[in-house]
Amino acid sequence: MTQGISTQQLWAAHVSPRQLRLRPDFAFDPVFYFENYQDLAKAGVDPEAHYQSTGRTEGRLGTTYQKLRASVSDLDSRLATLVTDPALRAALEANQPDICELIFELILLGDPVDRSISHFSERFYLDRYADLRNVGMSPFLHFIQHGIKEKRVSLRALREHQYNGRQPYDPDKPTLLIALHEFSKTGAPIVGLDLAREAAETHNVVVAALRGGPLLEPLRDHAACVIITDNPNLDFDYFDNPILRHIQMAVLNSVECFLFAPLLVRLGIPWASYIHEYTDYTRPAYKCIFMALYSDLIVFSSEQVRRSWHDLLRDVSFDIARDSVVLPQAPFEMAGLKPAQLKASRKALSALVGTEVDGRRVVVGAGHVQWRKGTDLFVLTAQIARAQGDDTVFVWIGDGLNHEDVSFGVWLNKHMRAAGANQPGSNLHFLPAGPYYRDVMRAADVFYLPSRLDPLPNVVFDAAKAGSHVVLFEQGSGFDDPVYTGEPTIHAVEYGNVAAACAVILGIPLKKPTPKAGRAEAVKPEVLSRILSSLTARLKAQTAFVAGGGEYDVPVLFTAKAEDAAARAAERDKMWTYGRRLVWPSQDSIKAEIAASDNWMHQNMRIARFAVLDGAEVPRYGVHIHAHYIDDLGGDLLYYKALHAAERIIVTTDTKRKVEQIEYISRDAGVPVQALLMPNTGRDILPFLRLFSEGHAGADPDEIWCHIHQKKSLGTSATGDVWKRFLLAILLGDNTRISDAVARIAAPETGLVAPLDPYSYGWTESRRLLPRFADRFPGPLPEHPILFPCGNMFWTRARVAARMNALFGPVYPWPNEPLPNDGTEFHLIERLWPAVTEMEGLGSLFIEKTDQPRG
Amino acid sequence: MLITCDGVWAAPSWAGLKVRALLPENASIPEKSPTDNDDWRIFRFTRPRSGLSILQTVLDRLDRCQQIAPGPLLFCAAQPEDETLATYVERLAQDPWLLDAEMTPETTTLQRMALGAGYTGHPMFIHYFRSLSYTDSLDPADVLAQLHTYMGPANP
Repeated sequence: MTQGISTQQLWAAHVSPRQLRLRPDFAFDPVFYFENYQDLAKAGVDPEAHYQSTGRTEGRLGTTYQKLRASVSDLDSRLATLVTDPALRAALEANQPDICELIFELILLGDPVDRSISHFSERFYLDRYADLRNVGMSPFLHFIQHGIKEKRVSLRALREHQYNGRQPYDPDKPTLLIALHEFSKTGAPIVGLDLAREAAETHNVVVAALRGGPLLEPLRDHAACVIITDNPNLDFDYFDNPILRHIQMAVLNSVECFLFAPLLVRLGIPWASYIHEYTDYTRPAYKCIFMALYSDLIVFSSEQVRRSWHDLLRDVSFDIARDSVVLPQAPFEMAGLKPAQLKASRKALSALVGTEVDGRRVVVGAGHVQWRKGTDLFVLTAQIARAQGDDTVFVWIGDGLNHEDVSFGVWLNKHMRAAGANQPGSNLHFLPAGPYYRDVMRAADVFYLPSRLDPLPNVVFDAAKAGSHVVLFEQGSGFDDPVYTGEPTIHAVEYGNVAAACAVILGIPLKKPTPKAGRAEAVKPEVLSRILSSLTARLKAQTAFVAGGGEYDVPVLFTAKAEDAAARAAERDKMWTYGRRLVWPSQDSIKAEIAASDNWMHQNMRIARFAVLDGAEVPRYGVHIHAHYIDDLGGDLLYYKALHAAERIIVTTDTKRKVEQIEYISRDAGVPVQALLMPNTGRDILPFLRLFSEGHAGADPDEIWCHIHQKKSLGTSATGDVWKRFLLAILLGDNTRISDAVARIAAPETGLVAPLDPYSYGWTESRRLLPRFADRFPGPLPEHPILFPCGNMFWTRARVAARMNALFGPVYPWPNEPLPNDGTEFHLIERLWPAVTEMEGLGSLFIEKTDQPRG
Repeated sequence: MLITCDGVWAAPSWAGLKVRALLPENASIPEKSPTDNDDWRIFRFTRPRSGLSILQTVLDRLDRCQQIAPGPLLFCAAQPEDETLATYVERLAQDPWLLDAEMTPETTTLQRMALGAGYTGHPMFIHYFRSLSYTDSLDPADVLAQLHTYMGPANP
């Protein structure tokens, strides 16, 4: 006994009254007893009475622990590493008899007892390892026997990444979550540190990150709690610091914090996203889409960055004026240097680069060495200056120089050698990041920012404080904004024009010290307070709300599993509350959108509910199947009745070998097909269009064709298979019935019949191609296509396909594989089917089938 | 705060925030009528909901948006007579611990509920509704009885 508490008392303290009534003694489990001794269960004996009277002496076992102990020799030591409850730990350390059995049986009870006394949680374990859900084994038994050896994680891994902050929790203050993507000493996390510092004055601050790093300790100074997790939504509920339950608002600092979106949507916590990244290099694009759909407010660090988001925001109907603001992370302050400061910094730089810089123009660039920062352009500019006989010294300070890095370092290294970088007498020097950063910045006459895309780098703020001129590219950074370019010391030149940059640099006079220069009066940063006041104003202004989840239950942030249903409804409610859209609320909402559009492309767009042909005459039709992968072809030919009824089936593929295999599959399935060899260009859609441009089909312009494909790629997932079944069920029907899509396409006024997709996709990255084709349409294309055959499977007529061919012309230079995931001509074609149908004077029909999972 | 499911009740005599909860049958009603003012908040429910469930959602969402001001709460599934409304307003002004609810006899669906400022001003008031399970099967009488026990005059 420990301090007078028996194991039975400890048992009673942790189990519910009901559990205690059913099982008063932890050392005997009646359920286990009957499960293991079926003879006794069948005999109908009282299990406990039997165990106490004869069972134990017969050598029968009373608990799972007793059984497992026989096969797992170090069971007790495994248990010892798990237990966290102080009383149980004390009993364990005191070697109290039967304590290990008690601990084991308590954990085996499951949620919530297990996580309250130990590092194990069956709920967490099953959340984390979905593969164990259907194995029919107790999660704890799996973990204690196998999971530990397999290095599967318990709550310990989580809890070791929960840190107390050095600020006390104050119940009178609101609690704010500041999320960072990592704790590295780089741009966005350093901004995050500033935000936390400011927030600590008015809030209880919780800081969370996806990855750790050296900023952890500085952040703990300002926070009440710090957590690190790479899966915030899954892990959050298992952190046990009660402060976490008080979070009222959040600031997600960087688009890379998109993984916090599911957590905050699920908990209903409003947040502002502080965005420092251009969409151009934020990949995959869904990171930006999630932030655009679900942030209550987006705060951009510069107008340039916001502009890069415009197309994406338009695609999801994000109200840019209402739901976003621009707030730079620091005030722009020009200052000067005292003579002694300038002299000292020049002396320090001279020593660093091994050449005297005093009296020479010094140009500094800074940042991690990479394409985005334009380090190569910095080298080019130094070469141009040297060729002009100028003795300006170019110095780049920053890490990342790596001659083994084939993506950039190899090529930069070659260039640096050619330019004589770091050689005695050279005008070009590279310095790693280091404590001399301030001296280097102070020694500069010019700070040169050759970045290709750079949101609002802190180094420019530092350069201004050091009294340096700044030369940068137009549209290359957030500093190309009248707010900054209005300053006489900021010079913007044509994007990428290093000659122009060099000319400006060489015209800038050497820095002169300012005798009376003092320390610039520190402007108190008010970034966080401005973010929060903007967020609060936005929340208070909201007058319309949506609740209920709408008609289409399809996933965005969450999974399609039943247990995520409430979270899925919450994610749709939030996007619709702000008038944003990635999922349609209802069929009526789509009809209303079509009715409200006056664009020519939408004038004959209609929606109908799915039906099957019911005794109606089946029109003559052909089916085109593109089969780059042929695995499922035989199954499809056998299954779909609509394929059996087709007058003609053409299957295209890209190798002779596959043509032979397709012919064999066709014979085997008893469904005749014509296999055609096509070049592997244009995914599924160009082979379809070639049927008509190369004379394989379309002799009659009103021929009806269904275009389908295998919807497979190297990255195909289970979701992709569900989507394919969704498309084919609507277009073809099933094994006994034919979809009435075939009758609908036969209506003379109709030129396109396609599945109605519950997701609402805009032009997405195809938008960039629109200007190239704009003059080929009878009018401007709409802001949003509203509907198109998403997935590129549909019914159409030969003349509509011919019109699509005409749109691109007979010699169009189609891009070859490998292709990007979005934004190619083939993705554009997918969106243009309703347009070419309309150009043929025909209408488009989209068929809704709500009982078919979309995935 | 006044919460009503009445889609046409345009100008109730109620000082402060007014919430119109539009159920699917009222989906076609525009968000703003000519007589509306900025005090209205519109909640569009895409699926049928019980009165209690509407109350839960409205309180949760408006609290998240920092829009709930101190004061009594009146829930009216349908527009009451002017006199009835005036009586409620007067009773709520006089009695911060007014707790009055009407349910439909058979279905026990919440039809009308008046909650004095004593209840709504309790620091746990919103948390209480937020912690209820999101189900239409909760009995409003039980919910209000619990509310009275834990946040009533005995535990202000």
